[in-house]
Amino acid sequence: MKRSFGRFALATAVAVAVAAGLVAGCAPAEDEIDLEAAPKASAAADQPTAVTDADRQEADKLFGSRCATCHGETGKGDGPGAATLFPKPRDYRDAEWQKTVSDESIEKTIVYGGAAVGKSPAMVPNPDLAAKPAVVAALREKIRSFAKQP
Amino acid sequence: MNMPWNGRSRAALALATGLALAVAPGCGDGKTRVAGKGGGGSASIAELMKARDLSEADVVAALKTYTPTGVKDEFLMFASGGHGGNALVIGVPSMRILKYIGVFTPEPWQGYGFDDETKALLASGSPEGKTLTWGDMHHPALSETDGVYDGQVLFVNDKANARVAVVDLQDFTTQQIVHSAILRSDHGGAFVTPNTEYVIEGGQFPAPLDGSVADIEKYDDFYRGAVMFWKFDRAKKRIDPAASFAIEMPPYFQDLADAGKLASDGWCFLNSFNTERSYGTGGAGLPPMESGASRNDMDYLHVINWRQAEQVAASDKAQVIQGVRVIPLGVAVEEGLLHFVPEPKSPHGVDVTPNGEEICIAGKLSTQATVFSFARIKEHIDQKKYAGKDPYGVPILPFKDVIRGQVEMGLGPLHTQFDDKGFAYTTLFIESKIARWSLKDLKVIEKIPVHYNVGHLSVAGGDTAKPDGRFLISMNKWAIDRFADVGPLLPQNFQLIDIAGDSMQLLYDMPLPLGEPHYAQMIKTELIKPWEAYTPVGMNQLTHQPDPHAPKSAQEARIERNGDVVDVYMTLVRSTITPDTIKVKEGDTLKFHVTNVEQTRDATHGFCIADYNVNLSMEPGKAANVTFVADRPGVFPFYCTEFCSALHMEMGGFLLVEPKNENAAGTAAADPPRNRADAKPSADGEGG
Repeated sequence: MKRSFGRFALATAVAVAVAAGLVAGCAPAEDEIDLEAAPKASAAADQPTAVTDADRQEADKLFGSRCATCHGETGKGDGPGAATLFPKPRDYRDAEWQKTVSDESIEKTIVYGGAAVGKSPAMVPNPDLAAKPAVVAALREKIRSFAKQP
Repeated sequence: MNMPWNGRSRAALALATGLALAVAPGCGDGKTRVAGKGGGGSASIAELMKARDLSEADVVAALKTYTPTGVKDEFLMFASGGHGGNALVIGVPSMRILKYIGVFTPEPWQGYGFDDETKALLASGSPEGKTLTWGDMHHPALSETDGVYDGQVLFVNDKANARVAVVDLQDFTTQQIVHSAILRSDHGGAFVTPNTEYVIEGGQFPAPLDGSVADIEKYDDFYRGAVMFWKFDRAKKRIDPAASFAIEMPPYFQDLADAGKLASDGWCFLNSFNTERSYGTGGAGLPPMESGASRNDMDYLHVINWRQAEQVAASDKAQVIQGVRVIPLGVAVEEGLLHFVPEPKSPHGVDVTPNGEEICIAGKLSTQATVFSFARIKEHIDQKKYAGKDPYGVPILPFKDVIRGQVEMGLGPLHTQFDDKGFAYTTLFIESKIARWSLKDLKVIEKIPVHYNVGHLSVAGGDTAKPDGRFLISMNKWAIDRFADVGPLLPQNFQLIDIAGDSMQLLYDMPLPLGEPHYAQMIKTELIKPWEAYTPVGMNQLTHQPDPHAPKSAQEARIERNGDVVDVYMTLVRSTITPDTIKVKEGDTLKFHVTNVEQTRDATHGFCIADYNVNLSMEPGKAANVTFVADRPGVFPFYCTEFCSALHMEMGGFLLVEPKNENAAGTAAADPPRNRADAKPSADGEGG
């Protein structure tokens, strides 16, 4: 099933706001963003997206090719591209962060980038994944799985 | 909105149904809506047709070519870019240009000819001391396995400078350019043997093979033609010049070639014109070349046994001329490697049928295509049944005994290709038509007008052992009135023709605004399997191996100085260039070793430095090196040239080249590279 992710205009507005926030050294916390108004990255809020093994395989492949460059193979945020990033990519093993972040926020970040959720705009969007909510959900599962790592 | 395939099919059906209703007067309600609301707003199909003055045939053609977003073309056409020196990749049936491949000409988008490796590559096929920056690309040849395109490699020739290049279809990049020192031009390349054992390159203009200068009056004695057989090493994906050889030919203008296949595997057919050996007026009142070369009714099809020639070339009967192993003409005759068959008149295309049993030759100045039987040619060669010899002793087979027949074509037949239903298609240059004819009956069935002056044609798989048919591209030299006027220099016109049905239908015109696109080959898209990125990170585009200088992560980015040589190990990732500040002295040699450390598909960066002619294309994972002397003091921004992310504009840095003169360092440059304003802004920003 394919779902629309809604409008992008707001994400742009958010990105501008976030950029302003970053310059001032005070990126807004996640709960300051109006998630209802921003485009939704998946059906997570309404009903869980069915994730198949094929989706998980594709997600693993995508994580390796797109995410690990900065986030690292083990999600520590220590990929080869991370050295010069400021702020640094998050350590996905951080249990506190895992508790506070919503599934929807993770999925939205994957599709629309950090700027869409008030985080670093250096986290790039993956616009082609808007048409693949199950793969995005599988990527979110993968990010969640890092919490269990030592 | 991304519509699933069945949705699209339904839409197409609805559209077609609407169309049928719309074109049957009084049958429809005229309210059928076009999916997606095209340029005509929300008009109905009937209204759109009326507004745009489209016939039913036009709309059917549109339905056959329109390719919705995200849908890929069924075929890829690899076309020559003519004297643009680049190859083109075009999707069929949409006729969308997908790629230029820099081959003989620097190509800035790909950074081709800008980094150290591709600069050296361009120079490698050039005469010593010169780097050629163009080529007259003519005939692309896809690599073949068992006589069918295998999608691995593309070969192209440069007629003007007698070069052949190898393009790897894993990354669509040029990997090698070779030049045979004994050839001065090469209209007859590139053509491959059925398993890509050899790439055939026939010369056109004869000249002394040893590179010397002989008086033109001594043309018959000292000028010679030649055909190169470049050995292709499939494992290395490179031509192996040391294992390649040539055969010396009489000073006729050797022309196009085709390798035999299946029944005729191991043989090569090369036609010729100017067997009159005209060299023009000679400055002495002789007939000009075009008439001097057109007096004879017959020229000679060269029939070459390349498998046997391979053996002779490896023996001491071959001579080395300018570093090329050459089988002398006399040896080729003695060993039975070369036979001639008369062919009418000033022929152009030589095309082996899919089963390899026959050879179709169209004579530019004849009105016929002649179908030669390989079995009869072979029988006459085996039994030495000759009709005579040419002035150089090459045996000539009797024309009438080795042909199956001739097809009355029309004016100016040039090239022939084949489909999957037993039809052959021949271009008629003078008539501006394409003739479809039956190979079995040797009869023309239908002709379709094209616009105008058609040269080559390309049918999907049309020169292989298994043609796909379906689509034909008519490659027209002139467009005249087909497109909006754009000045005296007009584009060429590729016309897409549907050949699947009982009758041919012209579907679409595609202007080609560069060079003289010449010939193309069309392959099923699914047979091409390119890389998504260079993996692992740090791969060199030319070696396809890890580049020894490439930094693989931002941690490895650094600047190292050794005397006046500065190595900059640089990484690119969205949206950072590391290092972003580089300070050197005027006169330093800078060696940039740049890596895009990303693996994300399509996350290509560029890297340019102002005023230093530095321009790299850095596809994901690719490493490239560029060396230059910082001979101009000043501040030179560098940045990423691909809009890679929302922070693309921020992806840059500064190269500071301090003047040699120590006293001037740190102040305004003593010898400013550009006019500079003397005024400085005041602290509050209101200066100037």
